[in-house]
Amino acid sequence: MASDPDGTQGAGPSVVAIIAERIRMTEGQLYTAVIALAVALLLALTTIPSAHKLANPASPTPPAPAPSPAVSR
Amino acid sequence: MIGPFAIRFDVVAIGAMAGLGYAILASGLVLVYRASRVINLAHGQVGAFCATLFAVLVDDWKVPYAVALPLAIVAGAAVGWLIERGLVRPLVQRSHLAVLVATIGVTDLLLVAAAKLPSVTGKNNQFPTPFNATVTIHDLVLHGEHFALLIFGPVVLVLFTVFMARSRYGLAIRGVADNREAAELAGIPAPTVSSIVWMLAGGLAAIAAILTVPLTGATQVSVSATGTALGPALLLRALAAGLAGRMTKLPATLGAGISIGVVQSVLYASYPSSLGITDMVLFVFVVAMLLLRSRGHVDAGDALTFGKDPVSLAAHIRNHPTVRLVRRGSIAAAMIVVIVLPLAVTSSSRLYLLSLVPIYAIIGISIVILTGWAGQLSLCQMAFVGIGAMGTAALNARGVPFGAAVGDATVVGILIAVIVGAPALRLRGLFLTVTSLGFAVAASSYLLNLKVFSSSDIGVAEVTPGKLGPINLNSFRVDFYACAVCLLVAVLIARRIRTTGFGRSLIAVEGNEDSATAMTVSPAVAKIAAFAVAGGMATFAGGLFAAVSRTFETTSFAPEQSLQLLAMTVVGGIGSIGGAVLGAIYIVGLPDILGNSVTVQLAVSGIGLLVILRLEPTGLIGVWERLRDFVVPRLLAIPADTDDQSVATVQTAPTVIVQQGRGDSTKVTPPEVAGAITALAVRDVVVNIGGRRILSGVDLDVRDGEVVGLIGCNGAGKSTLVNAISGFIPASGSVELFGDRIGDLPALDRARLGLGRSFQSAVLFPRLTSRECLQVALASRRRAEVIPSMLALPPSVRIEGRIRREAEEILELLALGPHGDTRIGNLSTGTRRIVEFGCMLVARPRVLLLDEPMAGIAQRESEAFGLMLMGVRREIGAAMLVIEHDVPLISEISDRLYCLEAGAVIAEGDPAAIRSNPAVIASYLGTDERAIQRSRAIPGKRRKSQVHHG
Repeated sequence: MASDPDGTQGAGPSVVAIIAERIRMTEGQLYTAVIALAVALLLALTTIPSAHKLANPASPTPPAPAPSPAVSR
Repeated sequence: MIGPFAIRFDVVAIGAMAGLGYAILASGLVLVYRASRVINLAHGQVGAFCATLFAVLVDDWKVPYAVALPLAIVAGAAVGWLIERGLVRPLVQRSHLAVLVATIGVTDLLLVAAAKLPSVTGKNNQFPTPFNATVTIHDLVLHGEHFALLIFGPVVLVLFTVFMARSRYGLAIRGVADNREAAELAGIPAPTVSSIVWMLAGGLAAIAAILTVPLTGATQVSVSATGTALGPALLLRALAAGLAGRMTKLPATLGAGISIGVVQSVLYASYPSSLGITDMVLFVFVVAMLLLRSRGHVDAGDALTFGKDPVSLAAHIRNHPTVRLVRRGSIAAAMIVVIVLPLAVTSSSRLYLLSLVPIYAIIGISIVILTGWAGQLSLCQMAFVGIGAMGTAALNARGVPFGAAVGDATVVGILIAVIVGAPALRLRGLFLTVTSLGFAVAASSYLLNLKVFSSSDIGVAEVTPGKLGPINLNSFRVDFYACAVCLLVAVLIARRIRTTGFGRSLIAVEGNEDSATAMTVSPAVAKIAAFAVAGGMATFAGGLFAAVSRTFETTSFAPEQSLQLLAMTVVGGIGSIGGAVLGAIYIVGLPDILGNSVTVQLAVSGIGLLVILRLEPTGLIGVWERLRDFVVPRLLAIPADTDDQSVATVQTAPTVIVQQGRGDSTKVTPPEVAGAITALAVRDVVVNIGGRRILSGVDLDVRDGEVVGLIGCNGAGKSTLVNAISGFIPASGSVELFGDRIGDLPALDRARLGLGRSFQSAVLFPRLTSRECLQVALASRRRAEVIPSMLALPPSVRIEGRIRREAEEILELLALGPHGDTRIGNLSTGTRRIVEFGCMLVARPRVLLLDEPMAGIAQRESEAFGLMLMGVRREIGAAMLVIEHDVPLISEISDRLYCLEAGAVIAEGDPAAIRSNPAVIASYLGTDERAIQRSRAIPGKRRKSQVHHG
């Protein structure tokens, strides 16, 4: 059986692995945290500029012409 | 008024009367659940159908009320009988989930049947009542319908209670509900009792509907055509009442039903402008009851599987060059169709329909992950779609870019899924079904009606998709391409889930929660993660739905739609991603061909569902696979078999392990001297089950590296002791693992600390292959996280690669190579045992508890198993506690033996001393001299007469 616990035999530990070890997380947890932060940041950056409208939805965008779908669900 | 609530005599009285109706409905639901372990989702609709029939009889055919009422009740009983004979009996052996889903199909068909009753269409009469009198008591005004309920309601309940308590049929029903096998042994014909139960429930549903519908002010048409009068909202009230009575206790159910009616009435009177607040309160009530429920409670009927999976092509066919070429060609052809088809379609409505297919397919994939793989039934996927559509529309209306709006809504959907799912998913059983129905109803009537668009509009909004990244979503054709790309991403994510540790742990938990826990998989975390992923996917699909529809309307997300989505996925094939896509094409395409009315949609989903459940449980994808398996081998002229049924034998399989463990070629000997450290210390363990004391103060020690045998008659408490030590049942006393107190920890934490165990049945995970089973065990050492697995990020790829390599090594080591792709459910007990040993080998526990590891295998293979056991022990160096009835074998492999009798240790010592201990001989070995001689026989000769008690 393979004895290499992380499958990194033959190569030095990656930068991510070193950082993860420093902050006592697994690499997977670190990736998860980074992705979650990135998504949160991206959504915040695209949503917050409209924040003043969120509180006062007085003038919604004019609607596009509505289709006449055959299925109404 | 009392505080903010309108608690008045008239309000409470009217509520209590409505509650009486709920109580009658709930008693039928509970009755069916107790006898069949199935939540009958068609229960309310059986009542609605009978109520419609009743109205037609009285209004159109002028049948007197007193005659029409029994006729409608008989009709209800007949429908119940038909459901039981046509669906329950053939499907219940397969799984309770199959029956539950079948009742959704019945609901659809009953809706269609009620709408097609003669003279219903166009009628708008008030629902018939027996009296025309009106009586006023203070503010309370009573009409005929109230008198009917006050007279017939209590009579029905009293008759029902007396029937259940006093009649021999009632006794038989209770007997079958408590213990079907024991009841059958006592001569009670369980199938007949089941028929009686379903007929009774049908009759009760009919009475409840006929008495309750007039209170709602419903007309013939509103009851028959839409089903709203007795749809999911009423079912939720009955289910909540049933849950309050733990789906077993009728008096509590009746009390809860009346209480729900009163609370509902008070809330209506107190907040007349707040739509759906009662549904929201009921949902919170259901969640609160689940939170109060003990985590250790095991609910019967928790086998949430359809019992049959799509079959992969055999490896040698799958890897045939021609097959690979055809597969790639098919994918290319499908992509060309996806690209070209919208160019050939010019009609906006057709393009809209085309766009719905990938959206529905994404929702279907979410159901495949949750129900097909994780075995959890959700009835609220359309509510998540609604939340996605509402969130997207609300944010988009405020100027948030469409892509960000969909992203925001998806994140909210995931969070809501965790909040909604966690209380139910920490328990076993059908609780998510009830919670999700509650959420579907509450979302439809309350959440989706919140004023989030503007100060005036409720439940309606326009959506302007604008741009999604670089793509300008300004035409239906572009919409379709965008949705198709999203579907492709969803398919890739789902494929990653299925082929990595997350997917394997979902299927492991679905198949066998206890074994999964023993392999350090957390069932609660796995199920909640599955619900979150499924909720996120459905919410994302909701954002797309809002974009494609250009509008958001609350009415598009009724709870009934969730049932249709589930039906769609079952028809396509709930176990596979391709099935979800096929189901979407079926549910969108077929009504378009046959005529796009609600009736056609219901008939298509209902009939399709029932036909598929009866004939091909794997769905349309299963039909395709059968066809493929028939045609391909013949075209290629190669043999078809490989997911074969052939059986690895214990004597041939574990060659290396056996050789490693072999002291000499014939005798099984303990390989090492036990250490001085106590690996497992058990002190004063007491277990009480159902008022009976099963274990009374057991003390036991296993030293590091030691093999300790546990013997005793059946019923002595051996398995209970192992369950108590490993944390699978509650026990008092102390358990220490290498000096750490673990007695208060749950089973999962004990497993993670290195306390491994096997189970007597060796069921493992029937839907996983041998290779995947080993991979589940391997993941106990290093598990890839969910998000890196879904996105194929480096840690997941690396860990999965390592797990794959090690699984191959173990398969080779155990000579299981030919069975690597065979599902565990298709293996013999002996071969499953080998896989189980492999799992123990790779999980490397510090202490191993083995519950009859040789049970169910041929006697001639026991010898090899003893050798293999020693090989496993030598390999992992674990201390072992082994339950075994084969006294000669356990004596040979053990350093010491304990003998249990009636939950207490009666002897402990080295095997020779135990075999001659008078108390052990009297209790277990017997006083027959031949039996004692057998237990002293030498290994090569003793096979002729094995000691086997109990």
